[in-house]
Amino acid sequence: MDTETSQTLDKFAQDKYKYGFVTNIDSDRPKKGLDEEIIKFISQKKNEPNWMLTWRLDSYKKWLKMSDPKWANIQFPKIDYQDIYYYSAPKGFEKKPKDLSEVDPKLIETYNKLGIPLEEQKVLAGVAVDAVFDSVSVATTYKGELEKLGIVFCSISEAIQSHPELVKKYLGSVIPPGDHSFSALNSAVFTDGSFVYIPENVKCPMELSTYFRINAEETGQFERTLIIADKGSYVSYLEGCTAPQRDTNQLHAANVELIALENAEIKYSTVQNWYPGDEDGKGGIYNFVTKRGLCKGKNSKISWTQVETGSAVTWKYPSCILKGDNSIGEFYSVAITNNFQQADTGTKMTHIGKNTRSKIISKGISLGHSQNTYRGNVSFLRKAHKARNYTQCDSLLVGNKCGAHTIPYIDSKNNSAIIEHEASTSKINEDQLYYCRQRGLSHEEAVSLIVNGFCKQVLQELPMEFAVEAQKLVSISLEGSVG
Amino acid sequence: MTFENNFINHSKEYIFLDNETLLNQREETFKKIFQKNYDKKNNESLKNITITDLSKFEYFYKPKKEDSTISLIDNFNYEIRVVNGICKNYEDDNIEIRNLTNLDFKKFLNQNNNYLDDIIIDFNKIFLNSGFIFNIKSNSKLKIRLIHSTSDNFTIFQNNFVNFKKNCDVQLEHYFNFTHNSINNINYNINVEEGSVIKHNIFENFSNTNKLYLTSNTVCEKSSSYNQNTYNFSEGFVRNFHHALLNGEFANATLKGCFFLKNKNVCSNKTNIIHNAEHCSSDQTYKGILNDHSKANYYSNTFVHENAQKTEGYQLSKGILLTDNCSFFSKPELKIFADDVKCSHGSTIGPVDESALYYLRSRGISKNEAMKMIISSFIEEDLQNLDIDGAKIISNNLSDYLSSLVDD
Repeated sequence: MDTETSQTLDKFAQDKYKYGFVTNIDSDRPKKGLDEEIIKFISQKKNEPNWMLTWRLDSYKKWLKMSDPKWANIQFPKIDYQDIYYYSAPKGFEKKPKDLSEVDPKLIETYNKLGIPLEEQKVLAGVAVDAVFDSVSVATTYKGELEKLGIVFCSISEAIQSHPELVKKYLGSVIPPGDHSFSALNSAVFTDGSFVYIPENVKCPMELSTYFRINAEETGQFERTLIIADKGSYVSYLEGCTAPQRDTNQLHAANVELIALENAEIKYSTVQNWYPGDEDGKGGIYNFVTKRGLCKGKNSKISWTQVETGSAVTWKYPSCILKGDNSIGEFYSVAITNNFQQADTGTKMTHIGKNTRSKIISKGISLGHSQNTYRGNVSFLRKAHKARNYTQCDSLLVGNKCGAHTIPYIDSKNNSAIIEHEASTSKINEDQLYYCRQRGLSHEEAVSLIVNGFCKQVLQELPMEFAVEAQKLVSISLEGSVG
Repeated sequence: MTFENNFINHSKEYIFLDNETLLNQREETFKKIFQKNYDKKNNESLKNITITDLSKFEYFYKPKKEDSTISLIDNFNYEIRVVNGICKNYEDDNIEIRNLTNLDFKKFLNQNNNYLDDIIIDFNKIFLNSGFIFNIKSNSKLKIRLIHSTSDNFTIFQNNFVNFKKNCDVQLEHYFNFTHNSINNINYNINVEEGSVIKHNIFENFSNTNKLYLTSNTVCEKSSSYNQNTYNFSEGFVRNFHHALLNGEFANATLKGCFFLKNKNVCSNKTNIIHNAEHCSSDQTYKGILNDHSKANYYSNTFVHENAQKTEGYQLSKGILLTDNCSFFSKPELKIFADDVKCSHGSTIGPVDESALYYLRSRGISKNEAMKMIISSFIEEDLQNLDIDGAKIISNNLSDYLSSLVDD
């Protein structure tokens, strides 16, 4: 490793969770707790049409009858849903600012700290960003240029106003509100998120990106993202998350729905770096995310890539429903858990159409006292002729206080379909470590290098900007627990 | 007959009626199932199984002692016939076998198999009506053929204790000989003491009106080796649940099996290995061929405790689906808390390899014949442990099974 890299590592090592700052902005929030009044309040704040409010209230009624899913291999105290603020907006956001000059300079500063290219002139590579701060979408860059191509990239509350027909048609079509309790909760109280529509035969020329940040204390963040790729289109979408360092646990329950029509392709990448709690497992984000993509048309493709380093508890299964013939689903994941983090993550590939193909590459790394579980479901329905799946999940254990678990569910109802699954669990190879140490690397550097190599298969799937960040994140996550 | 009636009316026929603690335990277990309070997560392997078969049945148990036999083929070769759950009491220099009596309640009081949490074992506890204790003495080198025969309409709930003392070398062959309409819930507690080497082959082949729920719970001590192979050709329902606990260093456990299903048959398999000591190795491999409308599932699990360093644990599940109407579900699970381990699992489900079939067909072999060759080679490695008699049985069963394959 060259000196530059190790300097970067040292720099990151010192400030550990560098996104742990709090921005002091007056925020406008209603009382704590969840009831119909709050939902009406949110709906009214966002000036939503009636059908949206009815949808929310229906979801709320469903949620009331449900209990939290219990099957995951995670332990956390019962969530008190009445002790959370469901809406928090920086003051003066009743009307969305028209351009950046109207936005609170403190907010802009926050995003600059996070390294988001909010101001267009500063952008080098051309990433269109929609930034969500607590519950509201702050600004969307590059809007004009995208509009020329007919691409809609805005916050979901804006889309409800401007494209109600699309929202009405697709919202909840992949993740029905009654799917499980977190999806019902999100459907009832979702505050903001991104909406993307790519028209027929348009290849989106730039990476679309959203940055989520929970700022206010005791706030839950419930964002909803809806991406529709019409026939023959292509889009690559990035998502990043951070939160300030706090002693109390915060809840994040997002829903992400992707719809790919005929010949369309969606690539969705996430670098999740919510605050993971301190060394003793105090604080941190509870991350209960439902992500699901529907390959609706023939020859469509959905690809999920995720790097999970944060959160006290991660509960996340980005999945694909391969409905169209010849459609493709992919899932690449790196999950690193340290200290007292718990992650139960994986994917679900449901093959419905003929010649559907899916590929799952999952890498789990456990350190400290953490528990890391891969949970995957691959099922071939009766009509999935000649469908194909390949799954590989590898786990790496560092230290003997942590646990690595692999729980795959494999179900085949078609005799021309082929499923392959392989998994391995091992510790860091002593020979590799010895080789690196011999060449003058410190133990920590050597481990970081080997882990980066272990994850390479996944990291190379990330778009350029994210790949660099992800590699740094991997190194930081290993900090303090090796040697 | 309902579950409740069975429990109340036939409890006089069960053993250990004079022990209050055991009766209370039985009552509690009954209530747990009756009120559906059992842990559904631990019992997900029973998802496709009609549990009512084990609760709402016609209870019938009237065994005669004189039927059971023990014959010595030569000095080291035994044939033990267990008829309707009863065996003949016998002892010589090598083995000792006797039926459970009410005086054996201590074995049950000390029995701590709650970690197995399986509803089939709970049913076994509730309706327990027979069992035997089988000791194989130290340093003996034996071949034992154990045959379970069950007459028409019998319901057998049996709990057996097999103890292999130090340094024995035993080949145990297990057969099931059922006539009609029997329900057999048989639970084996196997203890393999230091230095013993056990080969355990289980042949399951009976007609479709019978049901077999076979459970085994094996504890392996230091430097012992336990090697289990199940071969399931039966037309009746089979549930295999085999559990092994590696308790001493350098122990080794292998749980393997293959099953051949046709018509509307269902088969459920579950294996579980717990590594509790260093330098142990384990292997779980199940292979299945499914035809017609058959269904199978396989749940395997390797659990490595944090003190079980230098563990090697492997799992493999392979399924071949011959028609569009059969289905196979597998869940190979790894739970690992130690870092210096080598563990892996693999799982494949698919059709017969088209290119292999094409290769054989292009050499003038009929489709049926080619299928037979491919399927035989699929289980070839599982036949390594068998002696000539065992291999003959498998070979005959396999050709019976294959003859029912579609002709072209």
